[in-house]
Amino acid sequence: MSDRDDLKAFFSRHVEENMDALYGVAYRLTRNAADAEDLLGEAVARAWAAIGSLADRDRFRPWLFRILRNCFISDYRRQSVRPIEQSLDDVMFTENGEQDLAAWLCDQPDEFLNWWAEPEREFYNDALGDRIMAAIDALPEVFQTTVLLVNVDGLSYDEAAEALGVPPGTIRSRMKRGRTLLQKALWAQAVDAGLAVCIRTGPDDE
Amino acid sequence: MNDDHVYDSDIGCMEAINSLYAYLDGELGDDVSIEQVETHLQHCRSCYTRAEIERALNEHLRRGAKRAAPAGARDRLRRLIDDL
Ligand SMILES: [Zn+2]
Repeated sequence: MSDRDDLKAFFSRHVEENMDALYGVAYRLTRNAADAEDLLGEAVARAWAAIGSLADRDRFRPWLFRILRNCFISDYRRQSVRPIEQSLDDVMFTENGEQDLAAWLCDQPDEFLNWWAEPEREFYNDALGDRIMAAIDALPEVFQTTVLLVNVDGLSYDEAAEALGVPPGTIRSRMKRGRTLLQKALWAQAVDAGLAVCIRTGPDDE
Repeated sequence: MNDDHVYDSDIGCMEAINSLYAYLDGELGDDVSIEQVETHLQHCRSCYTRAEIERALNEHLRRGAKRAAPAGARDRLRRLIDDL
């Protein structure tokens, strides 16, 4: 086998292995099947053309995710109804941001936690599942992408950092922010469901 | 929930929550150890319950948000790679 054949086999195998995750990311970015398919095709073609830039074969996945995302930003973003809110990190990153988030979670009353932890609180219940996915969809893009890359696609913080072109510490804080925003959605859900005690004793929701 | 340190070397609720996502993701840094988080969770019912909720949410995300590539898209991509 020539070097090129060997490289091609490697490339093909790894794209195949990551196809669902790649498609998932493409779909989340473009929000429709036809564009997701086009984006994925474009990204794979570009990735092959740039295969020389893959320094470490063990980093194939974050490398390809990054190309996919860059492809979206350069080709699809303008047509997309959905802006990439890159600046949100700066806006939300205050000096005390991390502590404020932890404090907000800390202040949630045990009634809230116990309500969610009841055995019959079925996370796979359709209505509840839909609410959670709606909350994910409503997250600002940077947090949503980060949470999904890590918690759905199983990327490590290092890999997610590479895929998104940010330092690992940024992934760490985006995870906290993204997941705290999800907790706020769960909070709203509990309040809607009549957990009135939370309204009286809980932290202020902005 | 309170932030009292209930035993010697307890990191407290704030620190536990601050480290919770990294802990659940297997990504704790050098500042707080797995043992410190787990010891706190064993002693604090509130944080333990929160960790269970977050774990359930992780599981939900893992299963619920996955989207399989449609057969047509897979075929098209395979052909594309063959032609590269
Ligand atoms: Zn605690």
